[in-house]
Amino acid sequence: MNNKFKKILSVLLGFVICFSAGANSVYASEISDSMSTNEVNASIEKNQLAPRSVGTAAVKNAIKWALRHSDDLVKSAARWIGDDAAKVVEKNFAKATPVLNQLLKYDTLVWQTVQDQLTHVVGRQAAIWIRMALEWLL
Amino acid sequence: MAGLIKDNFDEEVLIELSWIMNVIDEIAEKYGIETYETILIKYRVQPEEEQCIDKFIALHVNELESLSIIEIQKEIASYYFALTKRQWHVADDVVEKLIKIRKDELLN
Repeated sequence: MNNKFKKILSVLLGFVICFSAGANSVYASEISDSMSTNEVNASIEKNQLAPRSVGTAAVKNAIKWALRHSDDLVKSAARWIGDDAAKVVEKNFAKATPVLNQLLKYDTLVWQTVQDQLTHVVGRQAAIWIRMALEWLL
Repeated sequence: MAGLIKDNFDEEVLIELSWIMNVIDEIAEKYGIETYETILIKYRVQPEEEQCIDKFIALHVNELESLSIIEIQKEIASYYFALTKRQWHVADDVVEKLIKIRKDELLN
């Protein structure tokens, strides 16, 4: 009887685990679907923070997204950082675009490199704002 | 120059980096140069620590004046713990200095 009860319990636990994993993947997929729409919903949980060394791929993905959705980047900057940031990003993004495209060819890329390379083209202040918007809003 | 002994490469680089940072400290002090990066170097702020301060500034740039250092440190500490699972220990005056310099750069 005890063994039978244990078997039933383990099956039930298995269902619970599978269901929550499935629910999480549905949630994750909803989040990624909503992130791919025009309005970037900053489902930024302020306590979630990935290390800067998340990898070149993550930095490049953020740059690629921004190159395709610069208007949304500006809107996000206005919403989550402020109008000052949004104005600077909007004014300088076109100038930053060729640099960002070049950076996509780098083998290894960190956010500091993005900021440093942008500084030569748009100046330090704009480089910092653009880097902040790319790093923290995407 | 690093590379004398292959097994010691990391240590050699760290030591030479320390020499360079000490030179920057001396030059900055002698000529009164105070920038965001010279402060980071002077106080040997780690990249992960700076990352948390930077995120805080990005998300709170318009309310920095109204927040107390206690509130600021608490939020940064939460970012830092989420990232590293370690306790935050950068001093108040260093954080205040970095925030002030960065804010002046961004809003002026």
